[in-house]
Amino acid sequence: MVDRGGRYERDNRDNRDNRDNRERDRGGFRDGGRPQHFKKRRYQDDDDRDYRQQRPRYEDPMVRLRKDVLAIAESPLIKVEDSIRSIAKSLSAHWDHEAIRKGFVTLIKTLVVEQPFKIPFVAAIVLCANAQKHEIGKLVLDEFAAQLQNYLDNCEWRNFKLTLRFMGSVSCMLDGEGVATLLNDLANLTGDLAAEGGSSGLSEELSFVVLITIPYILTSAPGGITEEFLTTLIERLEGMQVPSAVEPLLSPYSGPNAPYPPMNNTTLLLNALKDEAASGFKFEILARPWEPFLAELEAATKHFFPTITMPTALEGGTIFPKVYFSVFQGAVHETVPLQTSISSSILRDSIGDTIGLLDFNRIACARFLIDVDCYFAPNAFLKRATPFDKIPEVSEGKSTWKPEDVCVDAIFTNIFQLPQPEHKLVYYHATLTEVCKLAPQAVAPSLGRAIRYLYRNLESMDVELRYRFIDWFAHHLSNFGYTWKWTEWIPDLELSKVHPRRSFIQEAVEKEIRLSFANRVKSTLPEQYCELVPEDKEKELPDFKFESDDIAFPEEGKQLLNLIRQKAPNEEVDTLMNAITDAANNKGLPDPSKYARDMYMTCICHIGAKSLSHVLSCIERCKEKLTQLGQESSQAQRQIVGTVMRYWADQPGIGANVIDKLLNYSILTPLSVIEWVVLDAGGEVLPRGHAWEMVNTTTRKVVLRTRNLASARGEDLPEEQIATAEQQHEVAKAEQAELFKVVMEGLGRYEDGGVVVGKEGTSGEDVELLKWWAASWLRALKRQRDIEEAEEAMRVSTGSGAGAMDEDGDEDKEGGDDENAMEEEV
Amino acid sequence: MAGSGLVTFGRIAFLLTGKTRLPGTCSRQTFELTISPTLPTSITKSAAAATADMSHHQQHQSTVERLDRPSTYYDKSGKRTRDDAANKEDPLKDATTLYVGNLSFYTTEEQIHELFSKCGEIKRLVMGLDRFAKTPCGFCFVEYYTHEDALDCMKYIGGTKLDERIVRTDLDPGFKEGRQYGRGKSGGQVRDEYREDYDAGRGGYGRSLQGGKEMGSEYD
Repeated sequence: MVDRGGRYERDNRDNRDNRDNRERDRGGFRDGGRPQHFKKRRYQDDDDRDYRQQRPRYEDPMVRLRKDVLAIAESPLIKVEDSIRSIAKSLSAHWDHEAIRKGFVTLIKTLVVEQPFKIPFVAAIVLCANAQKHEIGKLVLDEFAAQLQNYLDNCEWRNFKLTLRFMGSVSCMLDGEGVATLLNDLANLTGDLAAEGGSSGLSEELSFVVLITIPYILTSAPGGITEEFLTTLIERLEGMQVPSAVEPLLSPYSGPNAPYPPMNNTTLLLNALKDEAASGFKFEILARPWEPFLAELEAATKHFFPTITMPTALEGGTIFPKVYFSVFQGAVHETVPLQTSISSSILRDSIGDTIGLLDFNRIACARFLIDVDCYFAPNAFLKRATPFDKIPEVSEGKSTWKPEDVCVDAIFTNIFQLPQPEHKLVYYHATLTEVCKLAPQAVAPSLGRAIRYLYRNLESMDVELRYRFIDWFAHHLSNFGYTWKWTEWIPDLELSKVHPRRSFIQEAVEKEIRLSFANRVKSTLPEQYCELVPEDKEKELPDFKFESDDIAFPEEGKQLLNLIRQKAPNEEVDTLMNAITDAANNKGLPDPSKYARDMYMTCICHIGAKSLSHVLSCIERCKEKLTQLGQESSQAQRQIVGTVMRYWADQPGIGANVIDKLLNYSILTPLSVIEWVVLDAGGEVLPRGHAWEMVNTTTRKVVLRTRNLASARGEDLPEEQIATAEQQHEVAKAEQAELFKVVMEGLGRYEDGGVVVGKEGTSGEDVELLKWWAASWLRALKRQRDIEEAEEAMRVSTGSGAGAMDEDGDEDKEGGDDENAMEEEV
Repeated sequence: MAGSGLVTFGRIAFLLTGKTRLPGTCSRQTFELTISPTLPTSITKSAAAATADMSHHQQHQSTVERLDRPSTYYDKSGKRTRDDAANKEDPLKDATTLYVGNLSFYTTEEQIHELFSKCGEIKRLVMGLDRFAKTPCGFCFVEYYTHEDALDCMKYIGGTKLDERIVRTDLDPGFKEGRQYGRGKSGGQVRDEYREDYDAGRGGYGRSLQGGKEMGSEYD
């Protein structure tokens, strides 16, 4: 390792800037052939390239230090203890420079909360440097303590947890019991919160924070904290667990065929720790990079651990319990740690944080995931890219965990997190794509097994998750040429159209077409799938139904189309439409005005069929008339929804989009959209992706509006605005309650057989399946409603937070009202 | 209950930007849905701010490069000196619009909508058009309601595939009439003039290399 610095630096740069380099090279090549005046301009444009080529002969020690610290443990080719030693050495050599001191501490503070995998290694650097120069340890400790306090006061639990983890990992240089006092205080706080009922989920989060710190303390160089203390701590926290009210609705699977029972992450961790305590706290998964330096570390100066004060006011919204999810659970070979093992909890936590923190660079995130085996104990994993069927050849007692499976599993855990994952779903889609791009050979088979697992369990999967699965699957395939082993699902094409597996295939193809076009998708599917992409989908424009004669008022339909297309004056349109209504009335048809309404909306759809902007400009032009039509009768808006969806029957995704825009224009109310889906469209619509999408987007819009109005109440606004906001919030709340009530009742009737699902002639089996669909929709929507109600109840109780002490009476009254409201709904 | 109408999703303003569209051509229009909430703006802002976790630690230099930074395109075209840049407010600070490049000429608004709405509701979509033919020429502007959605789009969609092509996204200070047209000599984008590779999704070889009469050469 004599020449390590130079060689290493070169390697590092090449790796990191690979893409940039390529671009730069291309740029350079182009420049070569350009006339001088061009070159001058380009010089200014691409200036950073020219500067970089004149590399300074002298390298700033901080730049070097930064590079080395950031690269710690990244390369399996470099012995990590060599890196640690050399960084510690250069650190103590340059410690007199303020730039180095500041730079280093800032760097590792950020590193700890951005790249949690590296915490044990960074801790080892600090321990080692402290052994050489005790001022280093002192400064790091003080700075981290201040940071820790900061995170605690701001309720930034993840950053708090990671910073605390770092503190636990340097226990060896802490005087006395080190972080023990802090852990005790946190446990007390948890106890207090749990005693209050723990409804915000914070007590569970805090117990998780404390518990997950324990393995890191015990695998760091020996410090003052004893195993007895930690065992007692675990027992204490166990007594503080309160079950969460919403948790039963958050489980990914339900029903008798669920692949595994619902499991709570904190409970799993707690039980695994108890097992570990019984078997002597081994924590074999964790790396112990300090081991080679043990003798030095024991002789090093120890520092007093600064006091951390517990916060008086805890803010932040509800923290939902995290529920266990895995796509490799129960497989023939144990490719991911068993959920009950401590390794499972440690890995899932650490990888989960890495994914959660690095959303601003999915490519870097994917790189860390692929390199996951670098950051844990050597031999904790199988060799990368070991094929699944080669696992039986692994010798007894060796790990069978596939690093690819572990990281794929972690990403899916996020996608399938209820009620919502931390980031937008598309982030996880993109990360999986990047992981596949980085190591296609290794990851693709893992992904294949994951897809099959999910597909097998569709019948127990939550309806929202089923939709997320479809959405991810189609999006993923769209990034990889739409290739999938469709042949293996051919037998399932025989299933009833409302069967969850058959529905999945249909909807996945549908989604693919929305990202691409019918012919392209068709070309990627086996012949047997042709039926799923009927010719009608390939049509440029859907048929205009008034072209055919077996419909009421075909001539008038064509006339109206021309009038609207030619932007005829309103009077002409009105005259024609009134004539149609009169004619229908004379014929004695029921609801005579609906014919003209349907005709008008159909014409708009047809004129705007070319593209979204076409239909929007047409809607914009006819906005007033449309609004007026929607108010003609209580059924009018629902009929408009029906008209649009009928026009786009072959591409219901586009129809759903148009409906969403009509909602934005307030031509339709949210309620009318929901009513159409659950009351008018018939039970057969329940297995359809677009139907779920319509209901889901609409309810979310309503919920979001209520939330925004609720948060407005807490703002510093002029009095009259507060009153308006207050009033609007009440109205929004009522509308939201009504919406959920209609959905529940509508679906409830399907589920209990009050209304027959399916058209006449639907087989008994299908009727049962449709009832099952209704039940699964019901569960998902009940979750949405219950969460909103719980949030609102929380807002009411904490919203008056500051004034709670002196306005006790008011608070009670408000709470009481809210309860009544809820009772009325149920 | 139906249509109590007291709280609506908001007023909607509409602006048709492709007004110079030639009659009879199969060009695209653009749409804009401006949902102005019936609330004071500060309210909606606060809701967005609550979710945008731009907490203090992110002010530090990150240990990993961020994907939601704008490219150097605007620095370059601004021709500003360093001092100027420091004084002026960053035009992309609250940007909600993205320039999207490297699209196929055949990619439709619906496809773009399908992918880009994964990052948030789309307020406006402006297809880039050939200046002469008024047909799509491989780029567009996507406008979201919030800055956060635009940043997320940079992070999660830029560099991924749409219609089997890797799309490029860049933060943009906002669409202005006229910018929907290609600025190349023959009406399309400049990059499609001299391109030496064959790209079926973007009209084959670069137009200048295709020989024969150049489209729109009469304007030179």
